[in-house]
Amino acid sequence: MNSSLRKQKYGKRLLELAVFLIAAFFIFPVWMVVVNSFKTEKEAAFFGLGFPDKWQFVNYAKVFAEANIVQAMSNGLLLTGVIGALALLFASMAAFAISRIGTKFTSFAYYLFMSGIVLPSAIIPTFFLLQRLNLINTYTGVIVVLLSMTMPVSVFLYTGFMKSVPKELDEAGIIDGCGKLRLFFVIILPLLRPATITVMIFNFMGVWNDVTTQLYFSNADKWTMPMMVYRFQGMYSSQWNLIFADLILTSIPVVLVYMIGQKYMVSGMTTGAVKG
Amino acid sequence: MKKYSPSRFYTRSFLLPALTFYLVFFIFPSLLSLILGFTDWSTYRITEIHFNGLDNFKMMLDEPIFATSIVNTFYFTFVSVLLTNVLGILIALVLNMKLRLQSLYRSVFFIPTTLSILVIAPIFSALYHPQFGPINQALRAIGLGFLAQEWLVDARYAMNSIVVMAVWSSIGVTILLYLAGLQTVPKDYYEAADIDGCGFWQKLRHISLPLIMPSITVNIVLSFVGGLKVFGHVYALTNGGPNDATQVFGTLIFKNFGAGLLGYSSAVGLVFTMIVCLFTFILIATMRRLEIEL
Amino acid sequence: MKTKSARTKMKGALTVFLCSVLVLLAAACGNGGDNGKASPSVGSAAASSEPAAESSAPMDKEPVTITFTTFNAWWASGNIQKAIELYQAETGNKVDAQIFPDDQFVNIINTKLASGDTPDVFAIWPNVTNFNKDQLEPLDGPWTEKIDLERAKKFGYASIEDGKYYSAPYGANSIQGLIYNKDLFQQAGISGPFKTYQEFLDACEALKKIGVTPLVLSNKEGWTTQILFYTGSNYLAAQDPNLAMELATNKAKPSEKPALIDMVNRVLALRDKDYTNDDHLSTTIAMAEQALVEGKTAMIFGGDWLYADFDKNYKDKVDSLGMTAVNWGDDAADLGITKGGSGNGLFVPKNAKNKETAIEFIDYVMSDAVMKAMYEIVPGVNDAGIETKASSWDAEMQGLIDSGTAKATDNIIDAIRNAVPGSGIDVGDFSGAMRSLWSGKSVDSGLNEWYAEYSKLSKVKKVPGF
Repeated sequence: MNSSLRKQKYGKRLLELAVFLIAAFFIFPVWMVVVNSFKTEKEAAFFGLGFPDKWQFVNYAKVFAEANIVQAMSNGLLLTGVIGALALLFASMAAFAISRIGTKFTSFAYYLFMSGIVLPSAIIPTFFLLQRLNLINTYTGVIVVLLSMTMPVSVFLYTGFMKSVPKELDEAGIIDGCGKLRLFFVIILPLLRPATITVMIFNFMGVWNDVTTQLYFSNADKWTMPMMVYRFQGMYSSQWNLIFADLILTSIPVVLVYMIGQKYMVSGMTTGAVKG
Repeated sequence: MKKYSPSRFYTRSFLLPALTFYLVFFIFPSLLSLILGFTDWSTYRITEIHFNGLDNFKMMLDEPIFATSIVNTFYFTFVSVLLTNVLGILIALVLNMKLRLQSLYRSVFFIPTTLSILVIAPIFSALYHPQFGPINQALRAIGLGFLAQEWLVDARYAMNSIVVMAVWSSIGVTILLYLAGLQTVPKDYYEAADIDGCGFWQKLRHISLPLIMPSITVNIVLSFVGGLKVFGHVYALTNGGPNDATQVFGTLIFKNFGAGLLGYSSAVGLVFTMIVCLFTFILIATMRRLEIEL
Repeated sequence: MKTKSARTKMKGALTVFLCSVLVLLAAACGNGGDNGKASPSVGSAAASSEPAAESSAPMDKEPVTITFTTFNAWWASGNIQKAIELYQAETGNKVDAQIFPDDQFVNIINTKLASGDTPDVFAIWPNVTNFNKDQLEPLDGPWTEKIDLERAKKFGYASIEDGKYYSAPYGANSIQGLIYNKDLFQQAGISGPFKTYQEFLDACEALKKIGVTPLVLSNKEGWTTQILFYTGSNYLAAQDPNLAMELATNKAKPSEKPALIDMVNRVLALRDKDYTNDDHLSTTIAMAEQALVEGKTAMIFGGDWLYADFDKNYKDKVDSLGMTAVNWGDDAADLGITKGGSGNGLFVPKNAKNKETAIEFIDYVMSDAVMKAMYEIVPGVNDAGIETKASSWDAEMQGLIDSGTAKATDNIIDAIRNAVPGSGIDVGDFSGAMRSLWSGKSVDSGLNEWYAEYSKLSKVKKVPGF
């Protein structure tokens, strides 16, 4: 008995070590970026993993000045804010209708939304449409396209979550004299909070990190931070210290959002995904 | 599902906003590609749009690049789905074992998925740098210098280099979904198996895998579809190069869009959409059957 | 059942819709002021420099801001920046420069022209047949008098259809050739020009013996590979005078033309004889320039515009470099030097918001004083009829032409473009095709891929014959 227990503990220690090594190996690129972002251009060209000779905080100042950080960030906030709010509203309402009204129409709508997860977006015809509506290179154009693209996943997540909201609550609300709007906004929506947070985080990341839509439909003055990185990289192609500083600045918002919301995200995602 | 009388307390108009935007800006363009793909629309004659029959499709078949991009897209998809899911399951299994620092590891593996591909690509450009990139430097340091390659400009390795980056960037989600699935497996099953004297691999094959089939299906379908649709990964790292060796569908469409061939790229998009739908359908059917069998 | 519930249903839907419309309107208003004018963008720091002390902004006009856009590399070379600086000082108007990454710029400008959201002025290769001239504003400033109209039509500054100018050719004419390190040539005991192919091969052998890579290619930058092939244009034309016309009218495919195949093979032989760098795909122009200056290689193929690069980065070494010609053929009479038209042109889109000011700007740039100032930065010979500073390389190459040693000739791609005047044929990515040949693709498939590409583009542009 003793030896097998010891073997188990020994095995477990080995496994822990293995996982530690794998995780360290996995995350070392991030370390490389962080540490080189504080080096001089010459030093950073070697991509070494050691600490900088002298910490060049000036790199970040330079990136701030040259890489349009402020504008890109405000573009990102505008887009994620508007789209986040609208997506949340529209998708939750749609999910509510789908899960409570079990008609053929709502089922069809649900599968239509689902198909959007697989269906590639037809970029050129969208370009054609936006052109006719004079929405090329406007915030509105980017917003409507991205909003439509977030519908499938958002509706999917909300619908999955709606299953866990018992119909009894609806009935209780109705008995209390709630109208349709009050029923949804006052009673149901607050209960959807985990799904809401998940959807918000998903959409935040999706919009903030979007590449294709902005590349096709808007100019650089409307781009979000990651797109600006691409442009910055094109111009400062060999000054890796600056590029890395830009990468760090661009990633901080997203990582922060993730850190804050990660608890809710796991439960929200899996409730919909695993059982669905 | 019990039917509630819709007009009384639930209204179908709640579907309206979502459905409207989705139909107008997503579904309608997809239908439009059925028309635009058969025209000669280009930026050279932006206001004249004429039907040109099957010309676009004939041009597609004449272009070697089209065949290359099909091959590349499928290669990328299969390899990245395989690597992501196999490694993902293994790591999820290990993380499921209640080790120390578990939630830290979960974050570590998930962080890359929060980063934009435009952030990840420069990182890998640096890693793959022929002279100073850490990969080649490490190879030289341990005496395997002859293995050091020009990872991104050598046509033999470029596609695989992109795959590695794709796996790194998306394995976090995979691990998460597998972890969630594993956590739904009741512990008693494992305990019963332990009592019966089952080893690690037997527990894996007979308990874990069958019971997380839904997770497996979801993961494989999602990573498959994502693989077919890949664009940013290739665009940001090699832009289809070197010499079109890494062109995939997404970049091919963009390349033709950039050249002003709007009708032609719609046609490519149309073919692409059909291929994605067809293969996803086949995949889902296959997974469903596997689920039942296992 | 038109009861209260039906009405509430309508009210509910309406409210929701109104809210979303309001939000969208707010976003749209947020973007109202954004189409081009005051958006901060890269390079605007340089563009919005304060007017110099001697300026006197005209008091009767409001300062206008025009938008200008071009390639990253062209901005960085500094000449147009100088012109803008002078313009802003002189007129008090502002130029808002929006600069784009090199490989995106052509797509972006095409999209902008198509969508109507255009800058006021843009700089790109000056050939109007690359565009739909209905999207461009005809130009007729005083500078047009100084240009030979036939030459302008040949190189596309003016349209063959209506004889009007659409681009202002501010850039220098490009001469292509072999840039070499004088010290290494001396060491190896060789000197240019190389009047026959064999002479060139012997020179490479001699260089190899003294331990340097004879020739370095910078194929990471896609457009550089074609230059090697350009320098053989005269030989090619001598072997097959009908080549350009046949390709331009789709009477033949490139892979069917033995003269072209032979030329390509002669170039590729350099690689097979080990006279070039193995890491060509990851070598940038900057790296090649550095290798040349540091003596790690003796030659790079390039154009005279590179003089400005060397002048900027290696000022003390630029005199140790020279430029000479190479004959890819066997008969010394076939030695040719390819001279192109102007490399850079300014255009005004028809939909420009500040057309008048844009045209004024162009006239200003094309004036004697400003051109001279620009050519101090990037020297060369220009088409605008103005005496400007030329580099020593221009002098060397022109000397060869004047002495009859070499013939001035069009490069093969220009010849194809101009074979049928105004056809608008698209020559596709010739350089990319050549690069894939250099990387190991078979000559047959490389040429066929090039054909597939340019025939597709020409077909879409409705070029006769395709």
